[in-house]
Order: sequence, then structure tokens, then C-alpha cells
Amino acid sequence: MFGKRLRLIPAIGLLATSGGALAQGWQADLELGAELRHFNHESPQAEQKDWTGSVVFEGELTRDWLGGNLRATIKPFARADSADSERSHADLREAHLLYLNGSWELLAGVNKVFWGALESAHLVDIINQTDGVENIDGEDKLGQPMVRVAHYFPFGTAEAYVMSGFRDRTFPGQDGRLRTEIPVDTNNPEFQSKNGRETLEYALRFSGNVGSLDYGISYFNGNSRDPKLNFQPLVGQQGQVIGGTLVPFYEDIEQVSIDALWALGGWLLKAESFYRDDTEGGFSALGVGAEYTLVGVIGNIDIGLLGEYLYDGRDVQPVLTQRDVFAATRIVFNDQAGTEVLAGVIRDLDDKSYIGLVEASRRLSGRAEIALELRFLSGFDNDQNLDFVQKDDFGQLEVRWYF
Amino acid sequence: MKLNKLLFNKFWLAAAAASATLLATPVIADAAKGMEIAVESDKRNTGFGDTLSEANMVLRNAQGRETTRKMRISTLETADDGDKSITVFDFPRDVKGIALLTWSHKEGSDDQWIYFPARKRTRRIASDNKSGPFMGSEFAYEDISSQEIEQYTYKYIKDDTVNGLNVFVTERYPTDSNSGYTRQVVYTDKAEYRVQKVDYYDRKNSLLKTLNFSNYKQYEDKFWRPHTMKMVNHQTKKETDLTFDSYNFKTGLNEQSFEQGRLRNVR
Repeated sequence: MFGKRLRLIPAIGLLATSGGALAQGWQADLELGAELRHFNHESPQAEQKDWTGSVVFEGELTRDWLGGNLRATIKPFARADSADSERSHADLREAHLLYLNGSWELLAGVNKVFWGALESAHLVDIINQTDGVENIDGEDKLGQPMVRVAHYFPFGTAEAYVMSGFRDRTFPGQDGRLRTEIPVDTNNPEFQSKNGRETLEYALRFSGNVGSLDYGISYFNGNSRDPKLNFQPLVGQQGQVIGGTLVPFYEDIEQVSIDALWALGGWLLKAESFYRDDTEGGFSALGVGAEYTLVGVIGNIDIGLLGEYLYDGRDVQPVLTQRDVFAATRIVFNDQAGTEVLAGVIRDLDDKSYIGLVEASRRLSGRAEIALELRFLSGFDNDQNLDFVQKDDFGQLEVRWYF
Repeated sequence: MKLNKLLFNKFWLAAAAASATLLATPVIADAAKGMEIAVESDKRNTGFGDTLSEANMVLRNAQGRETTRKMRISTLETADDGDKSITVFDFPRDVKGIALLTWSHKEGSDDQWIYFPARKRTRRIASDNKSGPFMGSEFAYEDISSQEIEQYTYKYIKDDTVNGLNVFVTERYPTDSNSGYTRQVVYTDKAEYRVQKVDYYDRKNSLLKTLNFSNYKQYEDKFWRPHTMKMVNHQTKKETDLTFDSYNFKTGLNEQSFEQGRLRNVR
């Protein structure tokens, strides 16, 4: 009956899910995906392939105790890639215990956190490292070990984070596409902080809402998630440069940031900004954006229009975003299959490079989904590190099954 | 208790009744009677506190092909504003865990956020999009959101019989220009003030949809809930059946449960 399938969690105020029950109260969900990529241009280097295939596994195990006030969550992730050994990787996206007591919350373990308002770039989102082998959009993140204390108020949430166990950014390997011409040597990263990955890191955040405005104010102190890539030459016996690698250098930084999203009629207005104190004395970045949705344009089809402007105060390569504009349309068909298409372009106003993207997805059944992704890269000629990627236009088809 | 709301409505009714007497215009009398029926219907649902329910949606296209949605809905009655609700999706699996938080307001746009568990991102949505379809179904967001008295003006039309019950036939006119409707014809049974049927007229004032309520059950010796809501779109011939398992009342939900920051803990 109803009472058995739904367990009430008064403190969280919600009901536990029904399906997927294992023995001993664990709930399990599994996803399997098969992905095929084709790169439009011939491989710039012999070891790179035009066709790549990979399979991906994601799982979620959860269990509640104390009427839902104590909860364990484990989310493993693994990918096996036909071409790039660096892209074949596994990660614990989440593995934590969450304890709720009235307005207080304590979380300990590996977790994923999102801060921000924009779509084309996530300027203030700093807690988790980017899983750079998954895609070039920076949306995929590695799990971050942390202890987080949160206090909920009617008007917002205050949080304090203590972290250690820094996660290195992942980069495609020698055999992978979508990489710099000189591969990144992920085996020997350098850290400004003498404690390297074991550095104790701190963050504070307050996020809340006033009327139709959502906002967040954050502080972060720790290793930058955003490495500088320093060329380390390989010198021959006569002292001549015979090759080299790019070595990631993680600076010790402090960062303050704000993010805001304001709903105004049919408009969503967005802004993110940070100031970062780093080895070169500091810089700031700013992004602003607007989104408008035209409802029921043809039948049930909604068309969203998105525009964003990004400014990054760094003038050090290889930062893709210096002064960029993003323009996109999101078409939501509101059909039974949940068909959606996002098409857009990010253009660098300084060096004229651009990334074009099309993302489309629809449901094949209640337990399967198909997604198509196209990316076009051009105009990176002026950047010696990224000149290479403009041969990496690709199309990707993924089918995902849910168990 | 929605005391402010009741006081406001009583004042309004008194004023309308007074005007009706003075001017003796049937238009105002019909408006007052229409409002009276809506207020009585609302009053009979006042004090429910909070509910938890599990819903199934079957979407049927013109060729009869069916797809299913499953979700859980928690609702909180608030003292002086619209209800708050959280809808958590369970099926189809690609949207499992996505949660929709709505703070409905008597005046102005609702506040709405969606939580995406894959990205762990809570995102405010522009709630002006109330006329759009809910999960690809024939229900618009505004059809399933909390119905507040202030969202419409009213007019009593006539008495009639629906589902073998004596009903009041009233029209209501959305006050929000973002509504997808010019008017709705509402059939409310006289005995218990339960809505039995609604005809929706689109912006061109053509009959768009009909919603039939059935399988009503009474909880707590007071509150009636329909367990089947069948929406038929006359223009596209598509249908959606929304059915509810049993409702749980007064489950201990409170304002805290519906705080925006806590949406990330919803499951």
C-alpha cells in the first residue's frame, strides 16, 4: 500500500523514492551509455583516431536512517574509451554522509556542488574540479572530498566548507582528440602551495532569494582549479629543444564572487563575477546574460533565446574566454518524447575564434534516451596551444539506458 | 487559516451585494454569485494543512499511443499566501529525481525553481510560462497549480446536472494576461462544492480542452480529493489521465520543508 512505499521524512519534508529497493534499505539506480564520436577532419597526428567509441557507467546508491535525517549517497562513475587511455577513467562523483538536524546540516565525504547562474561559462563555480576528458564544455566535474556545515534560514542558506584531497584536472592523452598540440603531462603537476594536494582549503557561501532575485556571495581559499599550463622543454645533448610537455601549475588563490539571477516577467537576467588573488597580483572576471522564452510559438513548441557576455581580466594564454559572446536558442518541443534542441555559438571577440554547438535529445522509451551533439571549432590560429583543436570538429551520438 | 483571504472576500461580497441591491443589475448579481461559489468551494478546503500524494499520468496521442509519467507531490497550505508545493519526478527515468518547487502567490507571478540532481543545480524558472504544457501532457502548468480565488473574476451562469449531480455552472476569467485562456466554464456540485468539470477556452475563445474530475474521496471527514482527472484536448484529440493514489494529510510538513535552499535534499 501507499504507506509502505512512501516513507515520510518530516525534517527534509519529502518522501523517499519508491523503486529500485535493494536488501537492507539501500536504493540503487544504474545508467549505462554508449557513445560514438566522429571527428570531421583527418587526425592531425598519427596516433589520433577519427572514430572513437566509449561506454559509460553511472550508479547511485542511497540509504536513509533516523527517519531520513541521516543519509548515505554513493555515486560511482566509469568510462572506457576506445582511443584515449586518459579518457578511460573512473571517479567517485559522490560518496558522503548527510546529517540533518532542524536548521543545521552536516555533510562529510566526497560531494559535488554547483554555484552560478550562467549557461555558457561557470565563472564562480569553484568547489569541484573539471573532468576535462569528458567534454570541452566543462560541465562534468570530479568529486571533491569535503566537510560542509550548512544552516538554513527562511531567506537563504549559509555554508562553510573545509576541503583537502585536491583533484587534478583531467586532460586528454596523447591518443585523444580535443587536446593541445603538446600534450599535458598530468603525471607531474606543480603546486604553489607547499602542501600540494593536501592543502587545507576553505570556502564560505551565503545564497538566498529576495522577491524574484536569487543571489549568492562566496569566498574561496585554496588551490586554483584552473591550472596554468607551463611549457617544459625537453633539452637535447647539445642544448637544443627537442620536444617538451605542458605542465599544469596550480596556484594558491583567494577568490570572492557573486552570482545572481533575476526573473523579470518572461525574462531571466543573470550575472556572475569574481575577483581572484593569484601569483600575478589578481584579476577579475565578469559574465552577464539574459534569457527569454517564447511560449507556444508553433503548437506547443517553446523557443528560448539566450545571450551572454563574458569578460576575463587575464591576458595569459590559454584562456578561451577573454571577451566572449554567447548566443543560443533552446527549442523545447513539449512532446511525449521530451525532444529538446540547443544550438548556439561562443565567439571570442579578440581573436575571432568560435565554438559552435548543437545538442539535441529525445526519449526512446521511459528507460532510454538518445542524444546528438555537434561541435565546430574554428579560428584558434592565433593561439599556438589551441591551433590544433580546430581540426577537432566532431559529432557525437549517445544512447543511454536506465536500469 | 486563510483569514485575510476570507475577510477580503467577505468585504468584496458585501460590496458586490450592496451594489447589486442598489443598481439591481443582474450582471453584478451573477458576478457576486459566481464569486460566492468559488469562495465556498475554497472555504471547504481551508485547513487541510499539508498533503502528500503519488500521481500517475498517462499521455495518449491521437493515434492512441500511450506514455507514462510518475511523480510525488507534497503541498503546504500557507497562512496568507498561495500554497507551496514540491513535485518530484520518478518516471520516465531520464527525469528521475528532478524536483519542481513552487511558491504560488495570490497576486503576481509565482516563484518556481527546478532542481537537477545530475548537475546538482537549482535553477529559478520564469514562471510566466504558465500556459505551457506540463511534462508534455495536456495539462498546462496553470491547470495543475494551486487555484487561488484572486486569480480569476467570476460569473454565475446557470444550474445544470453533471455526472448525475446538481451543479452550479459558472465562468471564471483569468486575471493574469499570461494565462492561455480567455475563460473557463466550471461545473461545481451543489452538495459538496467539488469541481466536477472544467471547459477551457483558448485565447481565440474556442473550446480547447475539457477536464473531468471523478473518483472523489473524502479525507479527515472534510476534504474531498479527486483521484482521477481526465483532460481531453478537443483540438488535437490528445488526452491525459492524471490519477492519484491515496492522499496523506497532516504529515508534518512545514514552511522549512519548502525553503529554496533545501530543494537539493529532496528525493
